[in-house]
Amino acid sequence: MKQRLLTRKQLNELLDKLAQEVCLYAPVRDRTGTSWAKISRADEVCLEEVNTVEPAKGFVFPRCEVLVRFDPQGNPVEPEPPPEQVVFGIRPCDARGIAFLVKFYTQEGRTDPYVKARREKTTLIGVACSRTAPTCFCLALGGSPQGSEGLDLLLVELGEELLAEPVTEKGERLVADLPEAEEKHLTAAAEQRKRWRLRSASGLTPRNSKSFCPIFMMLRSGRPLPSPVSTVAPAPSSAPPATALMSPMRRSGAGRSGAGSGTPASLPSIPGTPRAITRAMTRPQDTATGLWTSSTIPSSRRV
Amino acid sequence: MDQSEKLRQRARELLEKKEVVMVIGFGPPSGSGLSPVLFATTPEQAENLTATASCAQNLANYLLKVRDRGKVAVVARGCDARSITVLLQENQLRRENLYILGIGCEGIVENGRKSVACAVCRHPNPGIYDEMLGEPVSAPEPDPEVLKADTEWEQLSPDERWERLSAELDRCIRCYACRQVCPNCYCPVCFVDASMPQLLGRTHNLSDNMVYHIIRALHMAGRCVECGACHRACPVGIDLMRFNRRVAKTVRERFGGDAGTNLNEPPALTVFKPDDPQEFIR
Repeated sequence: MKQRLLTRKQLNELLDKLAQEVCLYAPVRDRTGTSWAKISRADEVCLEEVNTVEPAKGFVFPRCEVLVRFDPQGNPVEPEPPPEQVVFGIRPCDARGIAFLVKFYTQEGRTDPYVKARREKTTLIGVACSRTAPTCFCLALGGSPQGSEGLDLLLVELGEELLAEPVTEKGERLVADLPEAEEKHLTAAAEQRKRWRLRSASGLTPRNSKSFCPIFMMLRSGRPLPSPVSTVAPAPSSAPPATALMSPMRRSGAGRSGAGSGTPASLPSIPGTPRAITRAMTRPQDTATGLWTSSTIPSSRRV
Repeated sequence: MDQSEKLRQRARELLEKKEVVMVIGFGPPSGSGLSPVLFATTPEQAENLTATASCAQNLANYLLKVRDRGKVAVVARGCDARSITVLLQENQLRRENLYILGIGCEGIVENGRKSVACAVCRHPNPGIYDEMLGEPVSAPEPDPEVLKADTEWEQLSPDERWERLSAELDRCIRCYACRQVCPNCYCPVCFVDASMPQLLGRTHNLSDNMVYHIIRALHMAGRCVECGACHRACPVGIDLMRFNRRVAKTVRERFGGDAGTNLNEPPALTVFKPDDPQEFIR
C-alpha cells in the first residue's frame, strides 16, 4: 500500500471531516492526563501524553454492553447494531492489544459476534510514539512504539509533516487523495524505527519475557489457544479467589448466546430467548469459594 | 550517624541474628521522588534501605501478606503505625510477630508537591514502636487551603454536596486501586466481588460507583487512619481524602478518639457506650 504524506493542517481537516460523518473518538485532556472522548473538532485532540489513563480496549470490547432487550410482552428485541466509529490517536501498544483480543474472539468456530461486529465497524488510526513513559514496556513484548499491528492506519510524526502508513484497505481509503510520500520521508521514518530497535537491543527487554506474559508467548508460538472462558469448568475450591488478589476486571463469558454448556444455572431460563441480557450481569464462578488467607496465596503472588 | 545508616545497621543486625525473616521498608527514591517498597530478606538486600519517608504506600498493607512467615520488621511512620494498631485491635496481626522500627515523617512529596493527606497530618510520629530511629518530628502546620476547602464543603447544602459527590464519583473507573492499597480493607471476599449473591453491579456507572464508595466509606468509618494511600493510588485523581477526612471528623466529634492512636481503646464504631450521642434515635 502506498504511503502518503500529510501536513498538520491536512490532518486537522481530515479529522474535522470525519467528526461530521461518523463517531470520532480521540484522547482529550482531563484532570489527571488524557481520556477517550467523542470529539467534534480537531483542536480538542490532545496527544501530549504518552497514553490515556484508560486503554482503548472498550471500543471493541466494552465493559458493559446491551446484548438483548425485552419488550413489555417479554419478547426479545435485538439492540441497535454498533455505530460506525473512528478512533484517532491510539498508540501502537493498545492497537496490538486489540489485535490479540480480536484474534482470540474470532477464532474458527468460536467467534464472538459482538466483538467481531464492533471491530468491523471501527477504524483505528494510530499515532506512533515519539517518546516513552518510564512505565512503558512494548519493546519487551515484541511490540514497537512505531508498530502498526492491529491498526488500520499509522501516522508517524516527521517534524511538521506526518507520514501516513495504511495497514488495511479501510485505512487506505481515508488517505487516498493525499500526495504520496517521497523517498526522504520514508528514510526518516525508517531511521526512527531503527533507533527504537537499537534501544530494544540495549536492555529495555526484560530478562525473561516468558514468565512475564504466558498468553502472549502462546499467541506468538502459534500453538492452539485455550478454550474461551465460557467452556472452562469453575475453578476448584482449593484455588484462591482471583478477585481477592487482583482487580476483578475480567469477566466470565458464561451465559453468552451460543455457549449453552457454560450457562450458569443461576440465570433465569426463558425458553427460546438468549439468557444473557448484558455482559456485565454474567459473573465469575470462583469468588464464593473458600476464605482468603495469606496461606492460600500461590507462591508466585507472594511478596 | 544519620537515620538511613542507623536503619540499615539495625536491619542488618536483625536479619543476621535471624530475629526477623524480613525487613519491610523504603528503597532509594526513583525519578518521581517517591520511594518504592523494599522487602529485605538478607543482610545484603537491607543495604538499599533508606529512611526517606516519601513512599506512596502504607507499609501495614504488606504485613497482612507475610503474616504467616514469622517475625517481620517494618519501618513505620505515623500513619503506618496507626494502621498496624487498627490491625492489631482487629486481630489481623500478632504483636509478637512484629518488630516496629519507628521513624518521624516529614510528609510524602509527590512530583514536587506534598501529598494532600500529609498536608493536614496530625500524627507524623508512630504511636507504637519497638525502637525509634532518629528524633520525633513535630506535626506540620495544617495547609490552610485544604482546611478552607473542607470548610466550604461542609457549608454546602446536602443537595449541592450530593451533586458534587456525583460529579466526582462519576469519573471512577472501579479499578479498586483504593481498596487494594488500603491496609484496613482486608476482607477475604470484598462485597463488590461477591457473586452469590451478587451485591453490586459490575458496570462503572454512577449508581454502582456510588454504592461502592458509600459502602466503603461506612466500612472505613472509625478505622481509616487518613494515610492517603487510596488518594495517591487513584488513576483518575478522585479526591478521596476529602470524603475520608469528613467521615473521620464526624467520628472524632461524635465518639471521640483518632483511629489507631490508642491500642487499648477499641475502634469507635465497635463499642457501645451509654453516653454515646444518640439523639438521632427517636
